[in-house]
Amino acid sequence: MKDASIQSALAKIMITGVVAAAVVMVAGLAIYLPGNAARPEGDRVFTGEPSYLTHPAAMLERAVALGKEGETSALIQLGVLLLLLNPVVRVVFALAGFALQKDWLYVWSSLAVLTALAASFFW
Amino acid sequence: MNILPFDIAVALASMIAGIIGALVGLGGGIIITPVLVLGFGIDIRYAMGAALVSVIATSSGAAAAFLRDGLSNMRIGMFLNVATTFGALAGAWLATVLPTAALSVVFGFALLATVVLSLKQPGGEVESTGDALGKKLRLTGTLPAPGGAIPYGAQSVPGGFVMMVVAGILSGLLGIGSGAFKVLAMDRIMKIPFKVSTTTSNFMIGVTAAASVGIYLKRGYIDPTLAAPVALGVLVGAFIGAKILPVAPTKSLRVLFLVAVTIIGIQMVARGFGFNLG
Repeated sequence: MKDASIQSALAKIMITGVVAAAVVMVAGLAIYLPGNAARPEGDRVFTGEPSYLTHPAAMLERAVALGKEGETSALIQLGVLLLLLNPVVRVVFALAGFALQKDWLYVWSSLAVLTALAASFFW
Repeated sequence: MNILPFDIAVALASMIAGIIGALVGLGGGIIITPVLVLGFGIDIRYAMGAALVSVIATSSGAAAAFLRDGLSNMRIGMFLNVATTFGALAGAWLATVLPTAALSVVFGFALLATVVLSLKQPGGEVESTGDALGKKLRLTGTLPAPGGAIPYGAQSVPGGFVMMVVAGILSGLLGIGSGAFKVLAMDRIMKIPFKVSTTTSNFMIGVTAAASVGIYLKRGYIDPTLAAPVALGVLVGAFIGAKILPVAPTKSLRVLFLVAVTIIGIQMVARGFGFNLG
């Protein structure tokens, strides 16, 4: 596989990923905002976020169940999470490309980057 | 303000920031955060979280376009991403322990540094075919040109790598893409052609940002009702900006913008020291 064909396939994946994330965010906002329009925005003072907005599993659960008032924001956060996964997919894809070319130096580089990303999300 | 008008106002402001960012060639994060902090009175941590999400959105869109053109260099990008991602982890951790006043000051100085860095006129010529280490690591490529592709390569790899660690730390610490610092490392230190440096930087920014965003998410810095309208606004704005770029008066816009960013940078520093310059 040539660099050029890897790059053009990767470009398609990246566009698809961004569009998918944008669609979920728009859908989430469309569901959340009408029912919660009268809520005050609470971002002037930092309070952190509840666990259903910080842990992917809980986020997915609430997003699917579309739980209680206010918790539907989990669907928006799921869209945000989709967006955040884009660069991870980018690295995995590049890793596969380098492996196909048996370019071990760059396979190792990609693995090191993936390790840093995993540390951020799971540590 | 109630959440509905708030989100609409935030999305509109982000869209304008996205348009301006695309026109003058500066990323979203460095503009969005001061707009949210100084304009909307939002806590800097929520602002940084939202900005970092928008950085991932725009860099993914832009990087996809550049990858197709074959200008960005995946090997150089991946190799230097090792430096930026570990730097970003350190920066994101620092962001959770430093007081917000200190963040504001560092942010202001990073803004001012970005202005100085972006004053350089883009070149595009090949300056080096790479030194021994650059060739050994295969940090090389070819630049498409009218008279046939011109080979280029990286030199001063250790210096560039260290600068990339710094760029990563700034990205995680401030929730910015730190594109100007990445271009500094590639273009000025490693002598990689400017066009390749900027497009490869776009490829790297999203990956760097992802390394800090996991930590931001767990610490509750990412509020979906803020991050989503910001990301969507910036995305739409960047798209519009790219479309009107050929007909926009970019030169006078740049001057105006750099003056504005300088003032904002000074305000962020002053804010950190407890002054409000209004």
